[in-house]
Amino acid sequence: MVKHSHLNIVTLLLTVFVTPIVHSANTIIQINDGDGQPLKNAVVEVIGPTSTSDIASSEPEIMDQVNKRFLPDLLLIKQGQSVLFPNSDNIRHHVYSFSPAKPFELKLYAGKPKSSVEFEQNGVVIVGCNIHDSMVGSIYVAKNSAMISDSDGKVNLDINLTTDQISVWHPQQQKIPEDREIFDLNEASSTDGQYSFSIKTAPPPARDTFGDTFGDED
Amino acid sequence: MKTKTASLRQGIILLCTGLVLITSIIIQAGSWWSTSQFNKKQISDSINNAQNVFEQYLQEKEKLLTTAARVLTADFGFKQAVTSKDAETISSVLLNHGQRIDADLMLLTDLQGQLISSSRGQFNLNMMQKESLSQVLEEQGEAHFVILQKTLYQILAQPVNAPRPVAYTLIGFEIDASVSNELKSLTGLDVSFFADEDKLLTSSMSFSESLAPQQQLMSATLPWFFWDRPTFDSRQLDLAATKNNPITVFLTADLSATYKEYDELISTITIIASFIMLAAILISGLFAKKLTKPLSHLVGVAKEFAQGQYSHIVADKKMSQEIATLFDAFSEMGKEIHAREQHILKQGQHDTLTHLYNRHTFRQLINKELNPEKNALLIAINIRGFSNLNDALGIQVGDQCLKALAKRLLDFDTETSTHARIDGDVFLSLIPLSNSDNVDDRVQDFLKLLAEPLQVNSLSLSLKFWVGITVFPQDSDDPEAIFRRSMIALDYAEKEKNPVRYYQQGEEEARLEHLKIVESLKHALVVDDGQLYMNYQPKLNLTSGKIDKVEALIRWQHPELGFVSPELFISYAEQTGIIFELTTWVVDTVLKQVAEWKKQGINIEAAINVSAQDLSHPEFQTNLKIASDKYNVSPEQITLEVTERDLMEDEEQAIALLVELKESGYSISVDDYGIGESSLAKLKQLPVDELKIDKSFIMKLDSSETDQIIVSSTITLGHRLGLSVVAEGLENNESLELLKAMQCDHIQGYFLARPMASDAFIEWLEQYYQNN
Repeated sequence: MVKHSHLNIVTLLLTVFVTPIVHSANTIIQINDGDGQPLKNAVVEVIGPTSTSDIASSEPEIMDQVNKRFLPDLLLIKQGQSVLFPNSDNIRHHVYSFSPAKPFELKLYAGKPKSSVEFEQNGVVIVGCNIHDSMVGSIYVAKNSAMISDSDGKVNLDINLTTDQISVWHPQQQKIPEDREIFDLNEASSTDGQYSFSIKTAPPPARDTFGDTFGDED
Repeated sequence: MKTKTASLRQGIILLCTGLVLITSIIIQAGSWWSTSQFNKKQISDSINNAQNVFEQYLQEKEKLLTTAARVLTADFGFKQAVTSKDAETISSVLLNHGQRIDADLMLLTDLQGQLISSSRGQFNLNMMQKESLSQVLEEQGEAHFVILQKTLYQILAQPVNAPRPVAYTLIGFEIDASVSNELKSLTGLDVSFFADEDKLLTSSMSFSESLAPQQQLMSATLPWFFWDRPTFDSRQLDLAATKNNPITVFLTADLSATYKEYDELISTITIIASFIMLAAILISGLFAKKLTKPLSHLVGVAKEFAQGQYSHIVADKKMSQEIATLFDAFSEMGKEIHAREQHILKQGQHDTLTHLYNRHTFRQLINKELNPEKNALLIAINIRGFSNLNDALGIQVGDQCLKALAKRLLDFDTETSTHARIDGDVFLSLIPLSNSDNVDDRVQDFLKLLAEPLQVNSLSLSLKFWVGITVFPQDSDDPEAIFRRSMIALDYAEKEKNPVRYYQQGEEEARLEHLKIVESLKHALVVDDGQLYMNYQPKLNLTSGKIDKVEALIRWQHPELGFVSPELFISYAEQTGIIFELTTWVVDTVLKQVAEWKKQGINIEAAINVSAQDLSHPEFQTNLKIASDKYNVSPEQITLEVTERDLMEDEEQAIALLVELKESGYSISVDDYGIGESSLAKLKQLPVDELKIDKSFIMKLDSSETDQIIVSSTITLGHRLGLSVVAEGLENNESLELLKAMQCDHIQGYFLARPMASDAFIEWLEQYYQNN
């Protein structure tokens, strides 16, 4: 609830004060973690109207569940796109999300669920399994152009940016899971069209299983 | 003695009791110490245990809390409710789920730590509590002790994962009295929780309000004899609390129960020790008595020994071996001492040579045996010329002779007589007289026995004796006196050359008086305190009418005896040989006086009486010269008067001395001339300057024609021999006129003047010259 309004305010601020600047078609954003190491799996989204407006695919994306893990555990979709949560394990899962962008619940099921879940609102949706606490997945519902950083932490935006702002999000970020960090490109230093930003991350959460809780001593 | 040295008995009791006392004190102290150490260790152990239990309890509680919190926050319904954002729902789910795990407090905060809801409805937090909570949130998974709403909670924060954390749940258990009491029943110790600044939160104990509870725990004491013991032993532990609000817990052991046990133990030990001490005193007392009883018996025996009673003592069978040995040794010692004493007594009582009684024993004997109702003879004998016998025949023969005499004495009246060798060759026999006995007969019997020749080494010796006899109780009824008087009788026998001499009444008294005067005279000469003094009788020179001479006469005023006659003490002095000392004193005194007169301008010659003994004394002349030199008095001023009798004793040495003295300048005068046996031939040989006609011729000169003839012819004779003549004892003027007519040179006598002290003489002299 709080994060949601925060995002709105940010958006509002961007709309009011930021004068769109057209950047070159080939803009590289470098995302690093707090220690300056390249950060993989960061989602960078351009804020503002997209020059190249992608139309949501009619085909739903897949977030499979294999070996009590979401696969992939990070999914980047367009606003309005649907996601199917098939269960490839031989046990049942209870997939849910309490994220404001899309709270939903797929009660205990096996195999393919009856229907896919459509994400009408943009934002970050954290999904989990009620009976397997260690299963955490993230679905980034992008409004604008968005990309996931590669293993070098790089995002190559071969699009013309009509805005000065981008948002950056990472599944392990220290901030509230659904929050995205807004960066002003004008204020950021660039070398040869390459911008560099850092996101503070927490170490990947331990596999919080039932065994962890009741098993060993501390 | 008894007061200074401790008795053996006391010593033994003291030693035993002292040892027991020291031992029991050491044991007591040891047991006190070890018990108190044991107690301390026990208390320490129990506190350690309690601490372990307490910490275990907290850990378990924390684990329980953690588990409960995890299960709770994992509950899907809970997550759903939390994410529903409906305040009422959230509050109710907190209450509901809190009740499931018996949590006393459930709080929900957002990820920033802002309180969203609580199981207790309205829940206001102050800044400090907010800080505490944020620390709890930071240290997730760890339980903290936090005070919220004045209540102490053990609180744990747990994220609500949906599946990423969306909120935090804080789950708390209240730490109240029931927890304290539970901890007390688990640990066995009292448990008290304190906030900072010693504020009591909860405790299993109750505190009085007078003092701060912590102070009470630290300083409460229980009185014990003269000091206080702490009531409690506490350990303070810091609980896992937030930094800004530390919580401490006191684990408190109440020591009073321990003290009670300890005190009981100590009193038991003390009672036992007292009993042992009492037993030690009694037993050592008995032992000491057993030991000292025979000793005091021995003391009694030793005292008897000291008094000469050598009773036989027998060791008791009850006695220890050592004491029995001591008794035997004592008994043996008594016997030995007795035997030796008898031997020594015999030796002491008897003369070693003759085996007769010795002097001492004999005196004791006569003291014992003589009683006035029985008459007895005491006969003292002395071998005449025994020293000559010794010289002639040797001491050994002399001793044999004494032995033979002793044997002879023992032959006399064996039954009743007692004999002793008194000294050297002096024997004394006590011969009892029966009523029928005649003294003279018994004496004759005795003398007859002695007259028989003695057989000594084939020699037949006829000894002669001096015999002194006293008759008891006629001569004295005092045994001591009769002994002395026997010896006096013997002495007189020898002196008077009287072979058998009976004691005469008064002889001892006279002898004592004599002795006393002689002793006093010796003393007077030594002290020279004026008892002895000189008087001077003037002599008138009839030719010149001047007083040119005095005769110096010694006088003695004894402080007790009074005036002692000069004739008496001078004769005693001659008898005892101290006349020389007396004359020396006289010479010194007179010469000093003459020198003094000379200083006063009075030139007087002095005449000094000199005895024959003086003249035969080797130092007489030297002394005279020393005095002359000392006082610077020339010999011409001194006349030495020697009696006619002394002069006629024809000592050649004395005459030679007189010659020397006359040559030195002294005048020699013949004193008491006319009554002795002087031969004119002798007189002619003597170095005489002056004749002093005896006063018996002068005193009645005027009335006796015979005396006048004798005096007149003597004066003529003297003058013819070239001697000057002095008439002594002039009594009246008629005689004086006669003497003047007879041409006597000097006169002396009461008619002129009596002998006077020097001062009186000077006065008289002045008077005389004034009158004449």
